[in-house]
Amino acid sequence: MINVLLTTELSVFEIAEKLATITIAVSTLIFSFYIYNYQLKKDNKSLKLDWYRLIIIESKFEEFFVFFMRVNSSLEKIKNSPNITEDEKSDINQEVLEHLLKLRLEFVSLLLAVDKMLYDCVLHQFDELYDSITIKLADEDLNLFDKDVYEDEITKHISSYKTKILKMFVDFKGANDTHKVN
Amino acid sequence: MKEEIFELETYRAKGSKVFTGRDKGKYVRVNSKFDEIEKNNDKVIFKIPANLFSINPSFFEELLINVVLKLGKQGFIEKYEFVNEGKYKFEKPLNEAIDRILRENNAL
Repeated sequence: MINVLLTTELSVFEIAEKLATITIAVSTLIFSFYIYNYQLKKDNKSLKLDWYRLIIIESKFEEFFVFFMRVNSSLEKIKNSPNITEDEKSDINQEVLEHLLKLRLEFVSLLLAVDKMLYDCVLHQFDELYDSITIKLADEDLNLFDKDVYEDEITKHISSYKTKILKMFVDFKGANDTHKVN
Repeated sequence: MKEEIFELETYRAKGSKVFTGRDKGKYVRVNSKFDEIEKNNDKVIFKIPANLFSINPSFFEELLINVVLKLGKQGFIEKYEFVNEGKYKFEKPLNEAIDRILRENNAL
């Protein structure tokens, strides 16, 4: 009788031990899978950032500054030109458009290879900048040839967009939600 | 052959010489039933008004997005005839908008 009880008790211990082993094994498996997924995501993000640095920041970022230099240079013609005609302002507007098209082809479109949302956000900001310049150039009541007006309406305006767009590149961390259109 | 004239002038804000921005492009697309005009006709005459300073790519992109995606560049060029009533050179911003639409939605 005692022997039977001992055998039974041992069986209970054995069952408990086996259950514990199975539980530990399943937990280890789930945990390993979680770590694997986490590491994979981290590696992908890191790889994406490496490509971002290589393709955009190290190879082509000069285009960003060149664009602003060209835009400022085109618009400077308005300064000190009180007799500028609408056709001449329209030509300047076309010149700025040319700079935008060149920038889109040689720089902004590369962002599509890295992150579509970053591409959209950056392109929309450049479009907003160009649209606002167009509106200012078309406004006959805005005396852009006046030094102070030019400073406020053009120089400071362009500079604020430059900072805003630059911040998008600085803030980019490789994930879709790290930058937003303001 | 069924054709319809699309007058951009109808959507010009009072006193304005520019068509800029995605919001304005979308507004014109929705309010003019631009996509339906394409759907219900074999040919569309797109009239660019006189006395314009600029039509920017952002405006064209949002106005044309659905018809360009549906027709492709060649199909769009064949179906739409642009009549310029002024001297504003609209071709560059128009082509830029078409290229952007196709690239953003098909490439990579």
